[in-house]
Amino acid sequence: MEIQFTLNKKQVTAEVGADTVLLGVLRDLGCKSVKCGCETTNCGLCTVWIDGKSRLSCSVLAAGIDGHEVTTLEGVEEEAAEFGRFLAAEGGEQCGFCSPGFIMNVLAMKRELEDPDLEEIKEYLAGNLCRCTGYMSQLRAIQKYMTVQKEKTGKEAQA
Amino acid sequence: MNMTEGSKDMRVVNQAVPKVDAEALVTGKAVYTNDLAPSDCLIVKIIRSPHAHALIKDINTARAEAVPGIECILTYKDCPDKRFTLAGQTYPEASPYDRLILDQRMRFVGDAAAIVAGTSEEAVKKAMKLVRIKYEVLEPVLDFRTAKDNPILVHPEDNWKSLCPVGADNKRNLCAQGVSESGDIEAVLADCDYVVDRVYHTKANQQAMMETFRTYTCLDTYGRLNVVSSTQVPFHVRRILSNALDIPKSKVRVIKPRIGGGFGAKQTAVSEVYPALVTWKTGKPAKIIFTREESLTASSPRHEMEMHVRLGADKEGHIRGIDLYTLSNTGAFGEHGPTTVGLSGHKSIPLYGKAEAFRFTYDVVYTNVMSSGAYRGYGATQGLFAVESAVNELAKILDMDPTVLREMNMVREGDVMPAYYGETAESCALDRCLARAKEMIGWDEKYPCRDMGNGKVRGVGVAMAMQGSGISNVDTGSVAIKVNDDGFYSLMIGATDMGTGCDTILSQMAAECLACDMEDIIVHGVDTDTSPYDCGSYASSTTYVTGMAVVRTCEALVGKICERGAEYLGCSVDDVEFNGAEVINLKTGESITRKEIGNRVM
Repeated sequence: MEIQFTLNKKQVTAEVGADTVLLGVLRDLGCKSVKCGCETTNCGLCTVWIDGKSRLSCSVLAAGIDGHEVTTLEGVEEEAAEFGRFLAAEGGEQCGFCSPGFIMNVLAMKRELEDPDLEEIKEYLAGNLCRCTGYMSQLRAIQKYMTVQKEKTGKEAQA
Repeated sequence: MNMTEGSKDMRVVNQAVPKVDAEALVTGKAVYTNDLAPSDCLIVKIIRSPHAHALIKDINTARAEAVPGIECILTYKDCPDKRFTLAGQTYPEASPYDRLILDQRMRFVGDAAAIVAGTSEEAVKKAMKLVRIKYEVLEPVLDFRTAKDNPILVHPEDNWKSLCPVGADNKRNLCAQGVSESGDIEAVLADCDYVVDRVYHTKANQQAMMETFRTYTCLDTYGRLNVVSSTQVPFHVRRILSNALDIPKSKVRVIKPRIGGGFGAKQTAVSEVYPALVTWKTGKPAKIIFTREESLTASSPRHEMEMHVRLGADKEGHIRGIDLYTLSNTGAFGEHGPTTVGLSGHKSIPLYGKAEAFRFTYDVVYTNVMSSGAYRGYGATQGLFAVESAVNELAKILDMDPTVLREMNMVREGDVMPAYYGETAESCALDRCLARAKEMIGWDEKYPCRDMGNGKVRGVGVAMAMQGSGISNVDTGSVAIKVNDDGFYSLMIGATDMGTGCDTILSQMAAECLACDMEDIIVHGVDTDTSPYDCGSYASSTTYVTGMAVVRTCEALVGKICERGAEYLGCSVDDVEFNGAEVINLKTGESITRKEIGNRVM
């Protein structure tokens, strides 16, 4: 069947089967940031946003996406690069394979939670596995990034 | 962290710089194997044995081949009958040549029975269901304690081959066997006040890197096999594919893109042979992407081991003798079997350098479970767990603080280590390390345990470990640096960045040695056609081994730059100095820039 949806603010169409999962469709459409790590919703590598909410694209049927809005890392590249610099500064992007899915979820958290504490951050990102870092560098990067974001919004509010 | 003397003045090394590939990684650029594979690649999948031990009696592929989109279905009849190893090791490999790409004998649940290649995932999956395989199911060897001299042989074949004297014997299910000793261990143990006698069992475990095993292959303009693979050992993969396909090494080119973690798993060529065979047979591009399940069930985990430790000491706590027997389970094939077992003894017994006698005996056995491989620590972890546990048990018996027991017995700088090839510990800070660790733990306040007052008791424990960077007199690193027009440098490396950052740190070292900025250096690796030979990235050795290659290459290059500079300035090379940007005639003050030299040498 043919589906139509918005991918990174552009209207796209794709020919999919009843059992086609979204992950492969997105990669075929050129969004190579979306990685497959486990196929069973355990690792977080394939995190994208559907209508603004984080979802694991390995477990979403493409047929159900018809008419919806999908965002991948390619769609928020500038914001990703900005947070990515914090991640890199802390050594949190070693092999980098988990980075796109992880960053998508961090940016989703930024939109959803106001001023999260360490426990809330850990809980929000519990589904994003990383094998290289041991997570400490990632948590440092998030906290520093969030602090800077808060200062920015603070300044904007004052202005 | 304290910087060592001499590194304080460094300009580029020891500075926190972002990795040279960081921007690409955090913006999700297409830099990994599956991102780079052409869209017209044949999809390659493996039909895997449901039996731990069986012989294929018949494979009927007729119905499967009729599925639209199926390109080929390959069986053992399509493979060279010449055995090889998948272990990424320096030639001649210690691991026996015991594999075929596809074999008639199935040796574990998950062993490759047939390869199916087709234009789409759907077609391949459909065809896999239609292949009919008749197996003669055989009794397997599943308990590694019963494998040695078991009448059931995992490798009864006559073309099994061991290249190195590691005590391997396929007619006894032995992948390796050996003993090393010093002093009369039995006499020493008989004379000890206490002997701790324990058996420890460690299970296999998976490296579980985020990117599963994957490879794509195609033929290039010259009809050569091009291989892009997620590997730690590109040069070894070139040899392995040449062995597996029985084609000259010159026909194979291996490229390593970014790789999503390895941890030793990709020190074995787990996925490469399958698409390589398909491409070689069909001339078409092909790729295999292991599922997570395949990555866990048909790969290269840590060796399961059982270790019998006998540890003798006197009443005061002087460790007088260590006897260690390691039984290692290499599984269906011998990848890294003969070498990992060595570390279980060589990296544990020498920690106790004051012992009068030691003995280290081992058997590495074949069984009908998944083959094992390399994993961080490479066998040392298993041996350390056993010996260090036994030392803690001894501390308990002696009613001694286990850190004090270790301080009494540990190897110190300058000690000869009979259990480590008789080498002297020339670089060893174990004593300082333990002292610092105790301080950081707050050991003296916390040992042995504290009642937290809330129904919980918290204790502390200790274990030591030793590690070396690289395999001495075996590992090789090399780099090539060239000066380009306009005077920027190309740093060609064969070492494998797998997220470990060697592309970055080697560039830092080169910039340091050449007195330039990192931007002046472009780094390139790894392509076996153009990169200089490197044994690959393992054994925590790249910084040390390949790093020294960078230092020496830069020294040689600076000499050449001075020679050219002197020539262009019309003076003696003895009168010039290179400051990174220009060559200066110290007598006249005349100079020529690196850029100018770069353009003139072209």
